[in-house]
Amino acid sequence: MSRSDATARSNRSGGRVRGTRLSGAGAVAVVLAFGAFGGLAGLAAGVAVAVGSLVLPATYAFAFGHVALLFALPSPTLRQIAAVELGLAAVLVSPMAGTDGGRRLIAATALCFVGLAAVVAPASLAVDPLWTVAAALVALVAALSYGVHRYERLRLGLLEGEEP
Amino acid sequence: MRATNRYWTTVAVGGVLVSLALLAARPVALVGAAGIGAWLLTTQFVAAERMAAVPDGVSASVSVESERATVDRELFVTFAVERDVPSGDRVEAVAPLPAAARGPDRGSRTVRLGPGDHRASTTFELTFPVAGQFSFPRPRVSVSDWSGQFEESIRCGDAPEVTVEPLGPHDLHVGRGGERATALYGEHATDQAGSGLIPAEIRRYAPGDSISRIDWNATARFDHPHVREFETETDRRTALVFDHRASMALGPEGASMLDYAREVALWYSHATEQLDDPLGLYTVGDGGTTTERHPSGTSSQYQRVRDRLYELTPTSAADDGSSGRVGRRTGRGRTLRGRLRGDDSAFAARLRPFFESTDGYVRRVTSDPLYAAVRRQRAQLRGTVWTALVTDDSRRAETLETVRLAVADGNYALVFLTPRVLYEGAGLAELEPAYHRYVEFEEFRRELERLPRVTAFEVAPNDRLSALLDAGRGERAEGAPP
Repeated sequence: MSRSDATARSNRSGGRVRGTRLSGAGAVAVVLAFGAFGGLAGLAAGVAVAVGSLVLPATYAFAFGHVALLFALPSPTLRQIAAVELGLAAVLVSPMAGTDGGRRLIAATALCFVGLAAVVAPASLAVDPLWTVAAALVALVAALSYGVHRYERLRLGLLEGEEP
Repeated sequence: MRATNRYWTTVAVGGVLVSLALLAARPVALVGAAGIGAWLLTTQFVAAERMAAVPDGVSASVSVESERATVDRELFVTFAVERDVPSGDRVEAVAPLPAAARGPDRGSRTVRLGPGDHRASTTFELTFPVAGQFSFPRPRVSVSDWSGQFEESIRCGDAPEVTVEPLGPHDLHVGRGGERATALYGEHATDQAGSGLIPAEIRRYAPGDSISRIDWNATARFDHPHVREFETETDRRTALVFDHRASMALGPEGASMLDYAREVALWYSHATEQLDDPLGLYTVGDGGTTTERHPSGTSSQYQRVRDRLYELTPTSAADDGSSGRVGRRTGRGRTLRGRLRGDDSAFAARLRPFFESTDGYVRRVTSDPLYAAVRRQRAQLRGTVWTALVTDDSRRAETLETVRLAVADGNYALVFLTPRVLYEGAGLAELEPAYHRYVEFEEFRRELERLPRVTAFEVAPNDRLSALLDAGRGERAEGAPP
């Protein structure tokens, strides 16, 4: 026997609608980009990614889109990559639309994505071998994640007892 | 804040993209890994912000139907989780169970607050198989962020305590005429002076008195040797006669006449133990005496008496083995009745009704197992004996004769009676007749107390007795005769 607040839930359903719209827009953008740049094979890949965005969690669909990108566009230009990434990014952030402060969260994620991509893309062109760029990316994300972890402990007042 | 399996799965997805980038030598997969990294970082940051506010924003409470419970009886528990501001985080908490408590499975005790929910609660039943005092552990509340990648557990809320009492009566009233007795059993003296601890009197020294008993202060005051006398304290030999015949089964389970009588008997055994009074136990069933343990003051005796009292259950009325048992007085009564029949004097006419009924009455009394048990006890125990008789009021004539027998030869008796009217299921449905039956009982109790050296008490459920007495007061206030 449990009881819950139904009024607050109606706000949540509005958020889910916005998330679904964003995900749908992203899927359409992905299909169009793949179809425009990859021909029939690209169109098929785009449709597969769009279907995947409906049935898979956003992060899995996003990753699946990049695997499709590897096979559907063997040598994409920067503009082609940007077009596909735009659609995939919309799919990635669509669940955030339904959360409290969803717009800020989407903006922060997008900004972070652009920042990391801005490091990776030029570096992968300039630096050889590629694994050093991959290692740098992993190290950067790990360092930032550790920083967030330390910030959380600071918020909880758990840093005072630690050795300097 | 703890990362969940979902977080590590997302990390693995990012790792797969990095691996693909290296295997296929395609930097574009690294861009995808960067997107996954951005997702992980922002969700982690938001979760850290939210979790820092959890201890102040989420509360859990366990409330019990009553702080007192009874062994194997259901106790309703309500478990509620609340948060100040509805958010997208998911809150889950499992109602904790005290040690030894039996409750529903974990799923039935789990409360969940979905995204946007403000409050949720669940109610379930608990039972305790053993008596004691139990504390609920403080509830642990788990909060997971909207993405399900991070969770935090905190303990919050109060931890109520429950006192679980054994199955049995809890509102025992022992008293007289509705008034609770304040002292039932205590120190006792023999009314004889001698050596002891309690000063009694000072008297002049007489030849033969021990010099050690001279009170020097009194001697100086009166200018002649004086000795101080003390009250002599003795151990009181006590025989507890306990009735557990079928009639004692009256009443609801756990609160029958036998249960209340047992409580009194247990208390009595403790009281005698505290005063080092030798205690014996004689239990009486429908077929006769079921236990015969003569008075003893050893420490194991009191425990054995109590163990036996705990074991007792009402016997079956079919066990009645009283048929054909005619006592010695039966023959005397028949002889006297024969003589009175042939006597036409006014004296004989006056006495005849009493002896007309004596034959059946004495046969009935002497065949009564309670009477037989006391008679046997009286035959076996020499000297002064205090008999504590615990029975009901269903056989008043037999009880009266039994008490008479118990106090014969200068002995004493304490009688604890359970009035049937206060244990009958529908007995109190109509208060007025029930009150009249109680008044009859009270008259019987007073009749017992009119016997020399007899003290009689009623043993009853306090709430029922109070209800009955209130009804009686109301009736008297309206002018009806009590």
